[in-house]
Amino acid sequence: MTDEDIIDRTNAAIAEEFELDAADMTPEASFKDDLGLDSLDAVDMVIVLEQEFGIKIGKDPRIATIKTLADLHAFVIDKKRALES
Amino acid sequence: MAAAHQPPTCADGVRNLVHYGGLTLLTLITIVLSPPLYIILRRLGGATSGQAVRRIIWVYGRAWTWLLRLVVPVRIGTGDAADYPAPCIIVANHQSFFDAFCMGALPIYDLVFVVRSWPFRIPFYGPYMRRGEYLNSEHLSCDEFLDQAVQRLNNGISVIIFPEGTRSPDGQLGRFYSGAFKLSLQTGVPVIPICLRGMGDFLPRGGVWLRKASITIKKMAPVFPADFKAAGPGAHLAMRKHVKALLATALREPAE
Repeated sequence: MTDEDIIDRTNAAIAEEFELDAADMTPEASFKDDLGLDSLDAVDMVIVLEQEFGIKIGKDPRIATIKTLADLHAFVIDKKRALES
Repeated sequence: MAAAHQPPTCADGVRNLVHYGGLTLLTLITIVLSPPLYIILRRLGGATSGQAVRRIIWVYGRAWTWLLRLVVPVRIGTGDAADYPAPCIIVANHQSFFDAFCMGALPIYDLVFVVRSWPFRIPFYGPYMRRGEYLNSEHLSCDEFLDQAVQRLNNGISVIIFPEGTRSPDGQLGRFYSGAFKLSLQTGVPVIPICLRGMGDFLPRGGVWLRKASITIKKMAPVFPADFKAAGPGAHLAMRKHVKALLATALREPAE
């Protein structure tokens, strides 16, 4: 799975779960200000991504630093690569 | 789906005059009668302060549903109190400012709403909401919201949540937030969906002028969290999607 695949699957999973418009899913989009997601959504996002990629996120402290979609892409790619190695 | 706006008619004028005039009168009467009613409920009924205020709010809402019937056709199918597990989590679709008033059509009165900050700033309503122990979703973190909602349920108080979080701008069912379903899974308390039809035609978001509409307030069958446990950590997501699908189907049904 390439980085591009991971980004596409992440976007698709998030868009489907939170009923977001694909056009809004830009890398610089802020979860809070642009996509309208709140702290409860963050919990749901973890569950969705764990199920989508078979990764374990749990209460990883880096979650708190994720502000944009690009931050999330980098985080998921890192998790996925760690799982594969 | 909100209807396309037609030019205002004379009947619309009468409708608005009767409704807003009646609502003003009803509100003034409630302000006057609240203190003695509160004392009666506390002293003779043994109600707590919160219970007494919630009862008064419910009576106000119930009176509004009678007022509503004067201006538009209304069908109410909310069943009897025995149909509602005590406590329960009530979820309803949200199209109009007056959706909250529709909850006066429910046969149970010990209810708190989960609302955003702005309704707490409405004159007259705000103090009642605070004393009624309503939950302000914007002032609480996810964990604080769940803790306080669990506390209400543990005290036998049912919780009303509009899972869309805000009024639909176009009458379409919007994205559902997960709070109500997370709360249900955490407590084992069932969800009762309430389908509100026609409210977006009556008074859409951003509007003030009431229009002719045919309104239905319908209780649906309880949805039990135990039925979704098999979905594991995503159980509340599965429950959320199920309840949204139920409401979407009910909204698509032809008007009776």
